[in-house]
Amino acid sequence: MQGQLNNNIYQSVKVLVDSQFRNNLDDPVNNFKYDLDKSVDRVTSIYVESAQVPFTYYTTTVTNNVFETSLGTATIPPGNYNSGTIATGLRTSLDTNAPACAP
Amino acid sequence: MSFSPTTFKITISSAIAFTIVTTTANTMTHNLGFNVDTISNTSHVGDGAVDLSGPRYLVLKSSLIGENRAFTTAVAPVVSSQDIIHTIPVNTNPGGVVLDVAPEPRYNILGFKTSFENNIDFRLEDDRGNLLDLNGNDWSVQFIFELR
Repeated sequence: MQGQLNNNIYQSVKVLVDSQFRNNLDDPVNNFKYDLDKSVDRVTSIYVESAQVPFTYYTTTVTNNVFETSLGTATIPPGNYNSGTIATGLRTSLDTNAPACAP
Repeated sequence: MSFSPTTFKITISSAIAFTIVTTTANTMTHNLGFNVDTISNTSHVGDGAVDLSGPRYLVLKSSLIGENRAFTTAVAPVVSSQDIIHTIPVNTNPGGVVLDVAPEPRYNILGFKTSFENNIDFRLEDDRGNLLDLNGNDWSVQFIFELR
């Protein structure tokens, strides 16, 4: 696709970045380098046209899964919880790690 | 332990008085509505609503695309905010696909680099700067580069 503005030729190049085609498959899917067909220069603008990310990540991860009380500490397995299942997960963990806190 | 569907608050009770500690590393107390350490008691009600919905948005970063950026933000200075090139709103539930299609007119990525060798780096994070673990699945993004 080409357009002309002020006697300068503008060219639009669509770049599809798909993590399954990252340079090195040993790199993590969330942190990698991606090959372009060729180097590009004289870039005047860059737009994100669209993005697709599967919601397969967990909302409770190792960064937010610890519950500490003065009676003991519970660690919930990473996963996707709602208000009902988190109570079950907490109760199970407290049963093991802080039984006095788990009625 | 109980959850109120009316107030969205959680109550934790015990026969023995106890405290809830909110300053532990990797704590989930804030997600459960406990925002400050409690005083010793046999029952504690969260002072906020339970929120287990996860990140509000995902963050796409590229140090190469964002290399020429000269600004930083005061709100997230430790997250290399100048490398942020796009935020993706989470608009689906677990198991779905987060789709972000830019409306017209599309906005330009500000402060981009003007030339690239044959590769570009990408990093996908949650809204707290943690690398997003897709549990073995792939993701994709489409860019339009305009050249002169």
